Amino acid sequence: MDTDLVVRAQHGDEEAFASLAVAVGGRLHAVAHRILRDTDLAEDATQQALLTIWRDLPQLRDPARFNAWSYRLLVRACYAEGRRTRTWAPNLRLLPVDQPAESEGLSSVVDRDQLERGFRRLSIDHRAVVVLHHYVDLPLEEVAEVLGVPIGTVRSRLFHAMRGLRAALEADARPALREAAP
Amino acid sequence: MSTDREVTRIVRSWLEEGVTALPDRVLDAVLDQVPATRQRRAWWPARRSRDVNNAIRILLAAAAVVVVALIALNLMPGNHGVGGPPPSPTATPAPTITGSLRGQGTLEPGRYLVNAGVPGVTVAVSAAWTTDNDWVVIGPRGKDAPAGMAVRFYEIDNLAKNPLSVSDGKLNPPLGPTVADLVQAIVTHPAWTAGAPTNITIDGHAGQRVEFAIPSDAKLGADGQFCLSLDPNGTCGIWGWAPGQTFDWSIVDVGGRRLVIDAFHYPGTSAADLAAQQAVVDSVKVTP
Repeated sequence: MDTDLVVRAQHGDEEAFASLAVAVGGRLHAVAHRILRDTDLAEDATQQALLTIWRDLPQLRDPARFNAWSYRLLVRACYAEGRRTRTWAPNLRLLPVDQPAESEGLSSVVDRDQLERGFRRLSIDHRAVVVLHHYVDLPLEEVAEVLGVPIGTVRSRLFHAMRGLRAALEADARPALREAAP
Repeated sequence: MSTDREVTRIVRSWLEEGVTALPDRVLDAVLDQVPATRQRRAWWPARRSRDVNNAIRILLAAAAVVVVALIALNLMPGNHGVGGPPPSPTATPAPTITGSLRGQGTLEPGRYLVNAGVPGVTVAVSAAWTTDNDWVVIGPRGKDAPAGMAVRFYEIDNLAKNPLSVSDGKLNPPLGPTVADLVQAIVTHPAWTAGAPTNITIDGHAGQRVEFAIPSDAKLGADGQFCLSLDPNGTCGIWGWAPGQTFDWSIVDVGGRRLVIDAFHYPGTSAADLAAQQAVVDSVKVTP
């Protein structure tokens, strides 16, 4: 991240912030999309996070920590959207597939659907840990910093989240195994 | 049975799918709102309201009227010993207000009106004190570690449940409204170790003084905040920022309002500076 842009935006330079928003907007939206599993909610969360970034930028004490700080604001916005969606969104509304499903390792559409269902059963807390660690590739220490929780909490959340996703995948595998058994 | 590594690979692969671009209309909506969205410039956000600012304006205007009236009376011939009533022997002159805190940087020695959500509070500072906000005075070595200090003024309704996780919200059940309620919450808060509270009086208002600090091994988050109190919108309103930072709170009841005078400092703050900080706290005058 260009810290000069961050510093200029901190001092109220709207053009600098526009450049900053262009630079980070896609990344934030991608993360929000993966946490919330809903296009509309992800857009709302990203919009809210970007506005909060603009509003609170003067309070960021170290511009070099902008990325981690922006993720923290985004996750907070996701919490807010997540609370909103619990009141009206169906639990198992599947995310439309935006790209061809040809990723290596995803063996079938069934895997994808099972993961989707398993992921949706996780809390936002657990989803955020999974996404920040396995999608953004942040080390667990940085995930803890972003979320403002102890690293032990992050490890615990990740363990339980991955156990849930593994169970979702194996729930799909079990009927097949039973069918294959003599 | 899938191995952990296999599950991780599948999850990572699955997460790679999906959108990565932010739609232009979302970006446009953000940038359209930026000019109308005021940045929170303070290094901690001020608590203020239109009503409070109006009250302060009225107070300043009243003080100005009094000053002008006193000058006019002194200039009148009758007040030089020829006729006219003698001055009241019991009148106590109100402290002269040099100005109000408004983030002006260096402060001339004098008494200043705290220009935030704590109406009627004034504080006296000596040379080399500064301000970068309207509710704080900062010592000669700045407000940051290792040797800085400052005094800030506010009212709070509750404490953050977990200073390292704002999303955890406030203490629940909420605090009661008294000085003792807040002191009890500070003393029993699991996030720090507080000293024993002592009874105090500031400008005739009774209260208690209690000290607590950010633990030296605290792992502050990405925003560097150790949140003490939350704003109504759930964001952090009052915070510290350095392990070892010590908050020496004098909490007094002012006509039912719970005023916090937060004198914070660090392990490296000198004894002389701490004495100067205490003098600033002791100088506080409060009009209910």
